[in-house]
Amino acid sequence: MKHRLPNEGSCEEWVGWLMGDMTDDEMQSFVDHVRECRDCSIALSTYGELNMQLSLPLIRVEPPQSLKQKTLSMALSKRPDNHIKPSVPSWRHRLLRPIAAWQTMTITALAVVFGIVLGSHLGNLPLPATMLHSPSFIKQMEFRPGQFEPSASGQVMLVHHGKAVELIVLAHHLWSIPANCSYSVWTIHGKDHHLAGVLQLDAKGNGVLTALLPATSPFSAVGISYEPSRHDTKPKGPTVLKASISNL
Amino acid sequence: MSDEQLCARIKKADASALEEIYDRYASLVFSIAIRLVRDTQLAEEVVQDVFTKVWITDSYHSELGPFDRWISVIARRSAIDCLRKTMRVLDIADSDLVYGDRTTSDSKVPTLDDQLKTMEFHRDLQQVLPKLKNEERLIIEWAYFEGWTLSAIADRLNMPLGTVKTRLHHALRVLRASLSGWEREGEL
Repeated sequence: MKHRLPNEGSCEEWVGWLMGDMTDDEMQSFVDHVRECRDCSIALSTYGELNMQLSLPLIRVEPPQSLKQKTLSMALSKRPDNHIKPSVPSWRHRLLRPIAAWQTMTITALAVVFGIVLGSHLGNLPLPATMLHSPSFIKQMEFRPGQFEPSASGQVMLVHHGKAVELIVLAHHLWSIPANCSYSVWTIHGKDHHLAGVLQLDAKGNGVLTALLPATSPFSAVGISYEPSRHDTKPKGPTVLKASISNL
Repeated sequence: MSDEQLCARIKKADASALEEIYDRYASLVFSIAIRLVRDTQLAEEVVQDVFTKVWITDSYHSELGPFDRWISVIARRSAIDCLRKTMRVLDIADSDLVYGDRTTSDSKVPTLDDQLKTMEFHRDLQQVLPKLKNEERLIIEWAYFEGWTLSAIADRLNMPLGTVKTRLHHALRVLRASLSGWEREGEL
């Protein structure tokens, strides 16, 4: 099966550009080159979007909001033509405007649920052996509630990215808890518990955690416990949810 | 207002245009960076570097494609530079929980459409990657998921750089032909 697309030529300078494998001078030269080179111009149109999607992780990661001010301040301080008065500071005011937590949680939860449905769908398919070693191999499992909060429910998903495993936890019907307490998520291997992180809760009792874990540290289950202190590095509180799911 | 119009305003030192570009693309840049550098602090440095370049250089040209594709390339390049500078070996054993703070209420979340599009793409990608020849699959994985430069891949595979480019070209061609439905309307 031939996959060559019409109009594709033999110049492959564009490959180095797309991969970011050029010096500043080479990048500037490439701009001049692409104006003259039809092969590269067509290739950028053909593969640019694919290149961008391949560069992105499964779940889009948001930078901390405080980074905006740092970044803009740094950039503004480095421009030589400072005599031009920047029309700044709408962002200074907007930074002070809080984002509704429920919006954050709802969108994140929907995205995660979609991922879990997706994982479920994939889980019913016979996966080629090679896929086990490909990035983004997905496992997912339903949590079982403990006696402490029998109405709680949730899902856990593992997304394999080569040497890393992305842990995505979604929980529902959790109780509201004091600020110094937490719903802590643990990876469990035998009697060893490793803190993966703390659920972020919304007002409706939904909790979300995503964390990147090393694939080299095995675990056979993921649990959520209610911790009287969110800083505890070992579980001391009762189990809220638990699922048997291996990262291997 | 289009990205190109904002870039024109940035060239005239309009800081509000830079802010608008940041709002549109900080998530994209941060996501690409953290995938490669696997460290929140380094990824933040990449974001600062990329948007500083947007502000102080005149390096975006429409001949290179839409702005989002261009800034993706710049983000990737900046992340690779960051890895080189820190001599960082891509071993995440000591950097777990790098995403631990990413769902805090202090951060914004991308649109659901963005998330769904990316998830749909990765689902399809899982099914297509095994169709590649083993060598080509390795090149894709090392280049995109491990942050290797083409030169490093050439060394690892003991093949000329030009051959790596050709294999990568072929792999992208197969992926593009096999993946469909996720590209924006109106494109090739």
